[in-house]
Amino acid sequence: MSDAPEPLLLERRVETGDDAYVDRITTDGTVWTGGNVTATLEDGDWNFDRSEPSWTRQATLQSGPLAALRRSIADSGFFSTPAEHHPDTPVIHASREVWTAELDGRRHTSTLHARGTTSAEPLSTLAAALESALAAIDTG
Amino acid sequence: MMARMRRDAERVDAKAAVADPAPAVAAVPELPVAATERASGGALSRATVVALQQSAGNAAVARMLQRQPVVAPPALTSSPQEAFDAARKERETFISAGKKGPQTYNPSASNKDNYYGGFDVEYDPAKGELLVMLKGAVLFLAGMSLSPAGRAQAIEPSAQTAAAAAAINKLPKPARAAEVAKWTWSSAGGPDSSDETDLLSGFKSSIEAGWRKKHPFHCTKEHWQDLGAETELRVDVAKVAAAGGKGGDQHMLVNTYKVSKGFIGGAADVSRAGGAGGTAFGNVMNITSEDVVPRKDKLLDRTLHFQPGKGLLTPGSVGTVWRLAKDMPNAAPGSTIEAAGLTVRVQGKDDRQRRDRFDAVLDHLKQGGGMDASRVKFEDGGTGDGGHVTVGTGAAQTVAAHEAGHMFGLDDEYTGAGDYNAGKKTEHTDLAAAAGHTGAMHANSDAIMSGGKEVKPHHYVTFLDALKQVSAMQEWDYGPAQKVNPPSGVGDFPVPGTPGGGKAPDTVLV
Repeated sequence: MSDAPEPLLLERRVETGDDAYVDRITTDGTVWTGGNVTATLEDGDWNFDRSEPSWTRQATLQSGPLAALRRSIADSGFFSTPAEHHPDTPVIHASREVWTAELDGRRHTSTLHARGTTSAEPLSTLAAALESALAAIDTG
Repeated sequence: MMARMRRDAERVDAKAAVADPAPAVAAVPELPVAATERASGGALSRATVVALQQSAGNAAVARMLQRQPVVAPPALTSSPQEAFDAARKERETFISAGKKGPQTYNPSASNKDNYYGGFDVEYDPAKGELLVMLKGAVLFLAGMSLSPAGRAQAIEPSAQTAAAAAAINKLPKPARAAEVAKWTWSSAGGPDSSDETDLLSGFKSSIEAGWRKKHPFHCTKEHWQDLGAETELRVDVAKVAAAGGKGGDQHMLVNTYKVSKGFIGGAADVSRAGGAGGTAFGNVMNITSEDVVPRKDKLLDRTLHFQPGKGLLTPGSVGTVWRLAKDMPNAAPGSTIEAAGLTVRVQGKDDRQRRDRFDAVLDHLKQGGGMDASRVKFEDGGTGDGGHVTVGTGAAQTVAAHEAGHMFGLDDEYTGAGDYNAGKKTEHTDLAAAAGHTGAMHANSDAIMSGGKEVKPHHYVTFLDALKQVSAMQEWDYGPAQKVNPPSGVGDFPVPGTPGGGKAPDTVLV
């Protein structure tokens, strides 16, 4: 996806074939969602579709949750995790999860192949940290 | 066939070797003939007759030949009948011995590129039926859960479910539980009362209907060609409470994630513990509850827009056509597997504009991917500025039937990044080529292993291989059973001196 909001702090990109759904947080705490899949609820009915890739600004993290997210990224071991995590055996046509983080001038990307089958601790730590950050902007 | 020709050639050589040492004799009544020829009861050899003519004279030899019993040469008459009778007897013995199998088929055993799948197979020669059996344990899993903090958490691992969870989390917290429940099976409190039985029956019927009786086989063994094999499918699936409940005779654990009705997309995949070294019973298939009904995302359809009043496509539609062309390469020269065709339905103010617009689409298909014009068909769409492209038959795929193709040892044929680039070989390309179906590749098409539902002949290649294994006979090929005729009694031509064959010659010409 072009025109991704910068400067990046953390991004999780879930890919299924050519479809993608992305959560992205920039260093100023702005939370974005992007991708080419849409899931909308209207009067209790779901509508799933594809669209041109785009970014939508969701909210901005307060300083506390933003600092907590930065600490979690730094402590996760993400910057030393391999760039690729594969399942024990090849999985034909699986989804994957691509994590990218940038902190203190370091940028790293790691891909979890066969999402749902494969796991890697630093990526699970990042997933929990991302969920905490998203919960912090939950206004429901 | 080759072995039979070689045996006939050996027989001719043996006859010549016996006839050569013909003795020279002076007179008849009883013409001296090599003892071995007499003992064999066969006809005199050409060399012997010539030698006798030179020593005893043509007339004497002719009289002697008339007294000789008419015995047809073994190679031309009695042997074909004997061979036929023996083959038919052997065939009847094969049939009367009953069903062959059941036997387990592991696709990796015959295809070095394979690392997934497995099924059981049984052949009933009396019915001419090859029964392919797929057994699975179905584990019903929620596609989404609600965290203690009241937030929807995607469990089904696709991009679409991630987007759906985000959409639910924008709702007020009190409204979220009801939406998450739609991603929960009825046995765990979900609202769709018959969802589990619907899944089990849909899984079974979509695979059986999608794969059965598509391409018959027949035996190629001499005089066995009326022995056929129609492929029948039997899918047996049962619910299990946990992954450990899968039986040792079940080929796959089917993790089935509940998604809301109307869901489009999702992650569906197959893997096998141990990969190429694994057994036929170590497979894991992941699907969603919507994967047992035809897809709704119209994978084989593209909408086009033309510039109003003009013969040109809009810029966006140019991109659509170029991407399509890139994903649909022509079949490689010499390939027996045809590339899918396209039907282009074009609107316009009149015939001429519709034709101009069709030509514009054709030009972009050629520029974008070099598509052969013979693959593209025009369809009149009436008045307007729109258009529509359909790949092949356009019939929607049911994902479970596609995933079953992996269980049958077949790779994906659709396109994507890396090894899935259009035109690249699949993991069943070489196996299919060895069975006579060359040119299987990654390409957008209406084939079951690409974006459609059509089971092509090369998709039966593992069934053919399984038939060879379970019948312990290599002589099988594509095509329906053929009529087998017994050889006619004395050959195709009238034999002089036999009823209807005319008068025997008085002399032998040399």
